[in-house]
This record gives sequence, C-alpha cells and structure tokens, in this order.
Amino acid sequence: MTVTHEGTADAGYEAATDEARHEHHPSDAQYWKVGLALGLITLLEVGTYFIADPPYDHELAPLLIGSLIFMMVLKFVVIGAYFMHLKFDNRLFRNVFVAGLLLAVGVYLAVLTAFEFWTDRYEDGTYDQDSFLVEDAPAG
Amino acid sequence: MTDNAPTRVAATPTEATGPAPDHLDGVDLESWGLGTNNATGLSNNKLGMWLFLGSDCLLFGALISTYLLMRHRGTGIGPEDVFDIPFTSVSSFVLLMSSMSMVFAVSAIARGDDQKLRLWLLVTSLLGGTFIAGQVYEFTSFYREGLGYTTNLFSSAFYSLTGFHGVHVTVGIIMLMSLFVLSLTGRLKQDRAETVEIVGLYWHFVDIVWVLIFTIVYLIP
Amino acid sequence: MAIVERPTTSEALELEAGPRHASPDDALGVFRRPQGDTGWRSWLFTVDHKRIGIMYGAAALFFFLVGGIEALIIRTQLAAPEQEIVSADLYNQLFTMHGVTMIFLVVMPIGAAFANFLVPLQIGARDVAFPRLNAFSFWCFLFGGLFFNSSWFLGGGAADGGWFAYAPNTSVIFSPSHGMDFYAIGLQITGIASLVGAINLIATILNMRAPGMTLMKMPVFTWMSLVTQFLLLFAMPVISVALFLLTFDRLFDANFFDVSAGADPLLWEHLFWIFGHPEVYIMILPAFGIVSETIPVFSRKPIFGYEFIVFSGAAIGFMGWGVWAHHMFASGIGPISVAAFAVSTMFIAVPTGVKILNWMATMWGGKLTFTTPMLFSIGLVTMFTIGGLSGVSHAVAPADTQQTDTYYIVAHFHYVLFGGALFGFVGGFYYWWPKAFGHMLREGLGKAHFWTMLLGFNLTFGPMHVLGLQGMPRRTHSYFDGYGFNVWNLVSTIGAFMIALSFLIFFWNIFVSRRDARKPEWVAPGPDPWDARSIEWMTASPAPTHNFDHVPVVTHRDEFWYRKYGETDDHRIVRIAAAEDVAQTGHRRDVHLPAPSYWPILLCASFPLIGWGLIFNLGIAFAGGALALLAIYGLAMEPADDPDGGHGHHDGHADHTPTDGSDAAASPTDGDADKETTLVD
Repeated sequence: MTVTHEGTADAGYEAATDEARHEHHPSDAQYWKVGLALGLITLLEVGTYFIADPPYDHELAPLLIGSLIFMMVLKFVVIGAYFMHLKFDNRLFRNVFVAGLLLAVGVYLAVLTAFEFWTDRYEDGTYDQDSFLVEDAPAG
Repeated sequence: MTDNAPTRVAATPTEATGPAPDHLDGVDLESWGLGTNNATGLSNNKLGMWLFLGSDCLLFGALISTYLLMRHRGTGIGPEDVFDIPFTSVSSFVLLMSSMSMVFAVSAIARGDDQKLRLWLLVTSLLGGTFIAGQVYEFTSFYREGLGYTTNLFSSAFYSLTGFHGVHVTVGIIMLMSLFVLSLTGRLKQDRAETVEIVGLYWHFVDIVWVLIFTIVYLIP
Repeated sequence: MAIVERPTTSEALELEAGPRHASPDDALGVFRRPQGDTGWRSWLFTVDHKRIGIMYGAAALFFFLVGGIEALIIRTQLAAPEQEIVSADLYNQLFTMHGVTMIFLVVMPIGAAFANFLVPLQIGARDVAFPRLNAFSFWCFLFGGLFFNSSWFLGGGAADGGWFAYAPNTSVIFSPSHGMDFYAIGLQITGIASLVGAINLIATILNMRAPGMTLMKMPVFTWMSLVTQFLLLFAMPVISVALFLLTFDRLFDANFFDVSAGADPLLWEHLFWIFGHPEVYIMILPAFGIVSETIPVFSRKPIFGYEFIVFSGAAIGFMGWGVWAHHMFASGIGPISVAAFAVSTMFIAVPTGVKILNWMATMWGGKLTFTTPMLFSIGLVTMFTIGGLSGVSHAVAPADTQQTDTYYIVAHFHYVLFGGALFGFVGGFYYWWPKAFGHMLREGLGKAHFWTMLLGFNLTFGPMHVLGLQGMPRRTHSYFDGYGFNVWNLVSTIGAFMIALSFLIFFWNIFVSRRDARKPEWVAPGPDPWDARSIEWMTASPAPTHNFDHVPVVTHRDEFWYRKYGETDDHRIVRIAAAEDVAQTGHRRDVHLPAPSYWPILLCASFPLIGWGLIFNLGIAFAGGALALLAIYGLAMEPADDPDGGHGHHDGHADHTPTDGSDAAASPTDGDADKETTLVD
C-alpha cells in the first residue's frame, strides 16, 4: 500500500521577499519639496478662511468649505504617503491604518448624521408627534 | 483528499517512524521569528506602532465628533469669539515643519550620520515645544477672556480635544528627547534606525491629527 | 523581536565587534534582573505567554467567584416578592458590579487567557511578538480589576449605574458615591490592557506564524482570536473617550452630559454602544473558535466549510460595527435610524447562523465521542442558538420597545454570554487542561459538571423569558405579590444555586485531578490525549517553556492530523504514524528565551495609585505617575533579552554572546508603545 503525503515545500508559503525590505525612501531634497508644498497648502487654507470670512453666510461658502476640506484631506494624504512612507512601505502597514481611519470616519459620520438628519426632532427641539404613533393615545 | 472526507482510522499503525525533521529550502529555521525572518518579513515593532495609530484614529475621531456635536449647543462664549486664526496658523505651520525635520532625523540615522540625527531630533523637539508653548499661551488667553474648562459645552469639548492632542505632542517630545540623550550616550546607532523611524511615525500621526483639528475646529467654526 | 534561538548565526558574531549595546547594567537596574522559572517570583516576573495565559485564567476564575456571589445575592433577594434582604441602593450596586465583573473581568480575560496560551502554540511560534508587553497587559488587567472592586471598600458604595452607565444618570447628582469614578477609571485601566494585548496578538498572528502556515491554514481559534483582537483594537479607544468624558464630568465639572447646559445624553449612548456592540463579539468569538477546534476532533472529521467559518467570523467583525443603535431603539433616535439599524441587525444573524450550520454539518455523519469538552461545545451550539433567536426578536424594533428593560433582555444576553461564551470556555478548559498542566481533568466529574450546569442554567434563565414577557422590569430590587412573578422567580433562584453547585464540582475536579496526577500509579496523558488536529498537540504536555524544539514547517490545515494520517490509493484514510512519533519531546535545552522582567508589574502597580489619587488626593496620583514614568523608562531601557542571565534549566550553555542587535532595538520601542498607551489613553 502506498501512502501519499504531500511534500513539505508549499506554494502558499509567504516568503519574506527582498522587495519588502528594499523600500527606497525619497531623498532629503524631495522631503524639502514636500514640506514646501505642505506649507503652501497651509497658506492657501488660511487665505481661503479670510476670503470666506466667517460666519460663512457668503454665497460661495459651500464651495469654500469644500475646498478647505479638500486641502485638509490633501495634506493628510501627503504626510501619510511621503513622511510616513506609506507610499513606499509594505501595504500591510497602510491597510491597518486605513482600516482604523475608515472605520472612524464611518461610525462617527453615522453618529453625527443621526443627531443632525436622521432624527425626528425639529429645529426648535420639539418632536414629530406622528413618529411616536400616539394618534390613539389620549391627548395630553 | 478532499477536506471533508470522512476519516476512518486504520486499525494498525504502519511501520512509519515519523516524518523527517522539518526543513524548508532557503529558510533559516533556527532563527525563525528573529528580526525580519518571519511570516511577513516585517518588523513587529513597526507593525505594532501602525496598529496603535490605527486604533488612535478612533480615539481622536470620538473627540472630534464630540466637539462637533457640542460646539453650538451650549450658551455663552462660542468659537467665533475667541479664536485667533493668524496665531493658530503660525503654530500649525510650526508643527507641520517639525514633521519635516523629523523626516530628516530618520534619514540621518539611516545614513549613520549621528551629528545630523541629533541636530534634527533637537530641532523637532524644539518645534514641538514651540507648538506646546503656543497652546499654553492660547489656553491662557482664552481663559482670560472668560472661557474656563467648565464654562459651557464648547469650552469643555474644545479643551478636551486640543488637550488630548497636546498630551500626545508632549509624549512625543519626551520620546524625542529620550532618543537625543540615547544618541549622546552612544546607545542609538545606525542599527537601531527603526526605533527613530517608529517614533517618527508617531510624531507624524500627531501632526496629521492637527491638520484635521486645524481645519475642522478652527477654519470651519 | 525578542526571541533568540541559539546557536546564534553569523549576524550576532558581527555585532560583537560592532556598536556597544545596552546591557542590564546600563538599564535602570535597581534590583538584579529576575531569573529562573521556579518559585512564586518566577510567576510575578514571567514573560512566558503560557504562564500569562494561565494567570489570566486563574484571575478570571477568581473574579468569576466574586461576580457569582453577587449574582447569588441578587437571586436570593428576588426569590420571593417584597423581600428586603438587600436595600434598593445595594441592589443597584450588586447588579452593576455583577455585570461589569462578568463582562470585563471574567469573559473578556478568559478569552485573553485562551488567546495568550494557544495562539503562539497554534501558529508554531516561541512566544508572542512582545513578551514583556504581554506581561504588562495581564498585570494591567488584574490591577484594574482589583482597583474597580476596591470601590466596595473605599468608594462609599460601589458603582451603581449599570454596566452601560447611561449618562446623565451617572453624574454626581444622581450617583453621589465614588462608585462610578471607580467604574470609569477601572475600566480605563483594563481598557489599556486590552488595547496593548490586541496590538501584541495581532502582530504575533500576522508575523510569527511558522513557515508555510498561510492565513488560510491557521486553526479556526487563531482566526477568531485575530478578529477579536482587531475588534478590541478599534473598540477600546471609543469606550476610552466615553469614560474620559464621564471622568471629566464627575471629577472636574465638565459639561459633556449636563443636560441643563444643553448637552445631549444620547452622546454617551452612541459612544458606549459603538464600543458595546463589537464588545459582544469580542466576548463570543473566542468561544466560537474553541468549539470550532473541539467539534472536529470529537466528530473525527475536518471542520465543515473552513472558509465559511473564517469568513463569517470576519463578516461578524465588520458588521458588528454597523448595528450598535439597536441597543437604543427606545431612546428616541428617530424612525430612520431605528429602521436602518433594525435591518442591519437582522443581517448580522446570517453569518452567525452560517457558523451554527457549519458546526452541525461537521458533526453530521461524524464518529461522535461525547467527552466533556464535546458536551460543553454542543451545549454552546444549542444554548447560543436559543439566545440568538431571542436576539433576532429584538431586531424587530416594535417588539423590542416592549422587551426593553424587561427580564426578556436579561434572558437573551445570558443565553448568549453564559450559554454561549461560558459553555465554550469551560469546554476549552477541559480540552486544553492537559496541554497546560500535563494532566487531564476527570471525565466523570466533568460530565456531572456539564449536566448540573446545563440544567441550572436553563432553570435560571429560561423562566426569565416568561417573566420578561409578563412585564417584569429588570434592575428593580423587588416586585409585588400577585403579578404572577413568584413561581418563575423562585425557579430561577433555585437554578442559580444549581449553577453554583456545578462550579463547585468544577473546582473539586481541578483539585482531585491534580491530586491524582501526583499518585505513583498515574499515567501521563502524553502529548496528544484527544487524537487532535492542530499543532499545539505536537509538543509535549505540559507545553515546554520554549514551545517547540524545532519550528514546524506547515503544509496543511490541520497539520498535525496530516502527519498522523494519510490516504491510500483506494482513498482510505490510514494512520501512518503514532502521535508520540510525530510529536516533539520538548527536551531541547539550548533555546534562548526572553528574560523575565519586574518592570511590567511595577508599571501596572502605579495605575491604581493614579486612580485612587485622582479620586481622593492628587498627591497620590503624582506619586503613581512618577512610579509609572520610572517603570516606563526601566522597561524601555531594559534589553528584551538578558545576556548575562541563566535561563533556568532551559539553557545548558555557560557562555553568552551579546544580545542580538534587533533585539536591543526592540526594547525602546516596546517602551514607546507603552508610553503612549499609559500616558495618553
């Protein structure tokens, strides 16, 4: 009787590849450029703030707020990608960080919208009585 | 053999004497688990820091959400009354630049340049210290304008959020200064470049949190 | 990376001439570094994942006794109507302490106990990724738990706001004793333990798997632990923030939950349940992992649909983040929120149902042996299904508004937590006991334990369904005669004492089995008493300190089974090797292991000081803070490995080469991670 038993070599073995260790990081000159770009974006942000002139009753206000958020995300991504090397490093690092980030954005946006939009509360703090299904209850 | 095949145990064991010792071509099993000789080829320490940062996203997310929810609910002094945007812009810029100097420290130790490493560690700590000093000044001037921690919802949420960030920065400065001292005493050499890189990751994270706070809290009141 | 295996390679020889590394003299060595692996000191300072796992289990069983006594007092008070054995105030404290103790100090730590003990063994590693941080996690949990329970004596009354601590009911006005301060700070401390433990175990599972063990070859328990640790990683900071806000409100007069200042109490509920619902899966998934290990072994079949088990576990992990508001259906979150969360809650029943079907299909057509671990596993499958079905009935929002705050809810969550998690854990105790201690627990007593526990459990919590539907409110210290509550409450109380009896049998079993093992005629169970499938059975029982003599190379899911069994040409499964021939002897003596350290326990000892200090006297807090700072530096500066230390009987070499470079580099970063978690979280 022959007994088959697979060999020990396995295609699924995740070897530590050289690629993973040979991250090529940007040079110092590139870091200067990235830093300069970040500084410029910050300048733009502050400029946008003064153009928008809070309390944001300007007719262009949605556009300006949108661009502020865009610049914020841009700075976030640039620092993460270059200064924190996520662009060059192993994807696992990026994945665990982005998992936390997306989860945070998801659940907290849900909470904030639950307070703002999903509620049956009116602006003045009173409630939509229909939502309680109290039509049959004796009037209070 | 399929995975779900029913297993009937043969009554008699064969004459097999057990498998040969485990081996795998091209893999040093004796030092398995050491350094980057492991399942992913990645450093445990760096992975640990990234996991922590992923977790910290939910911490700051909760604090920012709390702030967003509370800033307009209370009465009394609001954000518009106290914020000094030019001042905060400068301190934001300072923190941003500290991120850049941190990168130079990391690349200095990667080259084995101890002088530059110490220089950039010191610059980063000083920039971080400047930011904290700015925050202390800001808190003091807000307090003089009548905004105490217990004044209203806005003040509690604002001080808690920026305070938590300030504590993170302070911890970062302590770590940077510790690295500086280690380097002075000759105990932080090129072979431990990863330690500086990991502290750097923490430092950049603190910076990107401030990027969010600066826009969400200060610029869009 | 802290584990050095000798003989060392050329890498270490190079470093000898290289830069000087930190030696223990350079570290803040006030006392001599602890050495050896016998005596009580070796337990206090150990960094061995198996000992830490055992200590987690022992501490959790201690807290289980505390929480169990609290439960028995509650049931005695409710045995008959209008009793005044305890006052309403004391009753509030009892159910709060019972809930928090059982959740945070019993079920979660037992999950951590199994994860710590088993994960490195199941993936073929020598220890976890950060052995000293592992010790830190355990002591942090233990000191946090003791701090929290010290509120009975120091707090002027223990915590009394329920385990969910709804604000503003927990503000100083409504809860004037210090109990809720102990709650907030105590859970903060145990939260740090969970967070650090999660980082540690995720890094361990991702990085330290034996060669060839791909993710899809990992044992199911390791998979469920991975999902659990990710849930902990992301859920703990949320409760941290909620607890910080509560602490600031109570101690420093902040306004977060002060409704008169315009606050919205729903904020607490959202933050708490964003944590609280993943927490439910944090408690149950390790038990799911345990039965996924035991059922195949005692059915003599591979697990049915491994991929489905794994992916449904991961799906539970993801979906667990989208259902939290079903705890808040009655709180006025609005009809859209209610509808959305009702639908997502019904969906999450699907992956759980997938698991139940997988376990049943594994047993189907198998050659079942009803050992004690198998009985408890089947107990989980059946009892959890009942709890799951009542859970689906909560997802129907209109029904839920009737069920909220009644005993129906109490029945539901005890069926999933006691009938689910605890049955699985107890089965796991019986199953892995020989691997931990080298001797089996007695089967006869084990079966007596199972049947009394099953009967007592159903007598206690089954009638609560009826009581709840009859309208008996929970968290109320008494009830009037004549509401029809009397009979079922009495039955429930009798059942509670039967559960107590079943655990007396368990503790007796632990005692006599240990005594049996010391008799001369006792026969050691060997490495593989159950004819098991995964590689933790491939090393000696009890598992030696270094786990494996040689790191196994993995080629199959159920690697150990494939080394014992093969298939003939006509597709018959035959045994090709005896377990003793395949298993390693554990006799190797030249494995260099991470050295013990006294810094973790010292660091954790500072946390209760900080907690008491914040509540009573800031001076104590500063003293605790100073101790913490010292200990953090001590931990960070100490090399993870002790080049000058002997390593008990596990190191036969007299000379020692310097610490490996990557090893020395490991310690400051270990400490750095500490620094953040201790100072910031």
